[in-house]
Amino acid sequence: MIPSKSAYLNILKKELNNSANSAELLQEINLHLTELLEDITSSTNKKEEEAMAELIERVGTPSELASLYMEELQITPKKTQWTFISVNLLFFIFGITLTAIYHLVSFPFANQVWTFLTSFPSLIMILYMLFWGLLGYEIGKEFGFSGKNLLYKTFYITLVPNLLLMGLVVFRIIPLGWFDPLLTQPFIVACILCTIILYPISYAGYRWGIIHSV
Amino acid sequence: MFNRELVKGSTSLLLLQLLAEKDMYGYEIVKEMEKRSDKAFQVKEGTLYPALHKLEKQEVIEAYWLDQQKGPSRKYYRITENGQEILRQKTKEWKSFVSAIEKVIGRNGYDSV
Repeated sequence: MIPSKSAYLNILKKELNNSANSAELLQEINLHLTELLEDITSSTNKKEEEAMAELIERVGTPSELASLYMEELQITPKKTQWTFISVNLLFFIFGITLTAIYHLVSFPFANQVWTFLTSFPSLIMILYMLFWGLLGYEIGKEFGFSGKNLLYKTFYITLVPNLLLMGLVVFRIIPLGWFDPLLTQPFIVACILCTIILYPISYAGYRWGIIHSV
Repeated sequence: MFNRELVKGSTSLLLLQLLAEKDMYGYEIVKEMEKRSDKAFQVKEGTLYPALHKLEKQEVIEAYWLDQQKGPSRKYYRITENGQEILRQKTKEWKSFVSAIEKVIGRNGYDSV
């Protein structure tokens, strides 16, 4: 049993454990509880200690309140940024590993996967474009209008492996033959066009995310 | 009482609508919501404050502290221009949704299932 508002706030302070903006939140909750307590005591003629039971029933325990608030703090811009950078890196690591195994080692399963994937280049390209749309969508949905800079930064950092691979292929540091039969002229043109529209796709996803953020 | 998920899904829209009418502080929002809905919407503080802070983070609302003649300063919330834009879109979407539901369940004069 929590006997008073100040006891409630002390427990809440411990539960919040100096998380971001906790001092401001405590101040805000303090004012809220003061008014609520006044309303309860004036309408029921209860003393503070008795009114606290009703207050807690309505507001929830300090730990419930803190956990709901902390839940909101779980998703940070850095976490979101690194999730997308990592996923894109994993795509590249998977692609590079598969290509290297296919060309350097005779491994039937890898050969089958390689042959299967290179039969549907358009589908892979569409799925990959959806990844960039999702990047924008998730940022827009979570961070709303404040996510514009995050989108911009995440987009350009995530794009580094793409540009690096493109450079390695164009300057023939990676043998062109490794990407047969993918590197046809139409495919190269499609890759360039897709890279150009990656940001508009991410931005459209971001705007769509903003609408779904509320 | 309404389904919890249904209320949770529409809390942000209700908050934006109230703040579009005037700047309010947390307790005032709770009271106003209860008053307008005949106590059907009793927004819990554990839902209200995270929702307000998320909307603030998304820059659809902004907060400021206002000194009171009696007592300590209060944290007020107001809708931003971005918030007004979102509110317009979401209100339109919500009205279309309600109208579509109404067309289905209100057909042939059935009041209940």
